[in-house]
Amino acid sequence: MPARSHFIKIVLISVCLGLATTAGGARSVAFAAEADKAPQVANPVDDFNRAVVEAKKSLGDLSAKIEESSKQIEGLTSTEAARAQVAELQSLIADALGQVADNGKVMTLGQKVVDFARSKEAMFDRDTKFTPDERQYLLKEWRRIETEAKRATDDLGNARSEFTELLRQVQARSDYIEELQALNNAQQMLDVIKKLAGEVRAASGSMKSLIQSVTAPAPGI
Amino acid sequence: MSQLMAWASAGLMALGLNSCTGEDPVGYVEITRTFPQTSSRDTFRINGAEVAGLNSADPMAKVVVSQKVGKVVIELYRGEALHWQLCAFDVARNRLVTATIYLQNRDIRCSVQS
Repeated sequence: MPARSHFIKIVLISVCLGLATTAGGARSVAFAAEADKAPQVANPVDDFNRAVVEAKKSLGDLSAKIEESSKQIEGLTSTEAARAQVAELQSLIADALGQVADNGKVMTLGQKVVDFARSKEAMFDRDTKFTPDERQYLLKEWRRIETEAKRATDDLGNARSEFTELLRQVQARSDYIEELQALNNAQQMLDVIKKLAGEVRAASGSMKSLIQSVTAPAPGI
Repeated sequence: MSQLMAWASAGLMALGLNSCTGEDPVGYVEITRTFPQTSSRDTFRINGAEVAGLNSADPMAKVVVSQKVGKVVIELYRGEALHWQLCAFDVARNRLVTATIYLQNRDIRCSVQS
């Protein structure tokens, strides 16, 4: 029995040593690869571009759903169904607003790109490693990326204002509908819901073209 | 007894799955600052997180942020220290609350409309 436990100990120690050697080897290979490259900071431009493309697609889909939902409301004759549809519409608009909120993914990445481009510009302003022509080219490109990222976030900011206004409007109508429900005024409730549907469809149409106009900065370098 | 255990496990599994989706219901807060920043050390925070858009040099600023459903607190920090709690209110799912931060007799105040 002691011989068996001794054997297990040896096997365990060998496995541990083997793992340590492999890990050490992997580390040294990675270190050599890192040493070959100049120090790099993660570039947020690609992440931002991906996020803008995703947000545009998602906002386009949501905009179509908002339009569809408001179309359905116009055809409803039961107040309960209409109220449920207004709640769904409110949820869709809220989701769209979430895509472009100031603390959302796209806006946060956009600010990161602007900050990153500014840090690059400051770096190349002080640079002595590159020729003046090279430095000028790099500076010009980073300034372009900064401008384009700012434009993209401004455009999404406009979409944010539109969705905020739309959510405020739907919320106010929804609260008014609740008040009418308290008064049991079904016909007036349906009239308000149908009028709201028309307003939302009009807003959704203009938002679609606004979303289409958003362009992410081209990486360039 | 075993049926009770099965129900309990099913409940726990559902709870686990729900927490795995990581999608807490959210509402939105639109915050408007109607005066120029009085000090570069002042920062506005919402539930402890700095609201960068409100700390710009612009004479007026507006941001819209998503917040988990529940109580929301807007505070003014001077440096790293809490200087003043401006307002506290509740945010409901898919709803927008409008908060306006304004200056009155040199005091920073906050009004809320939901």
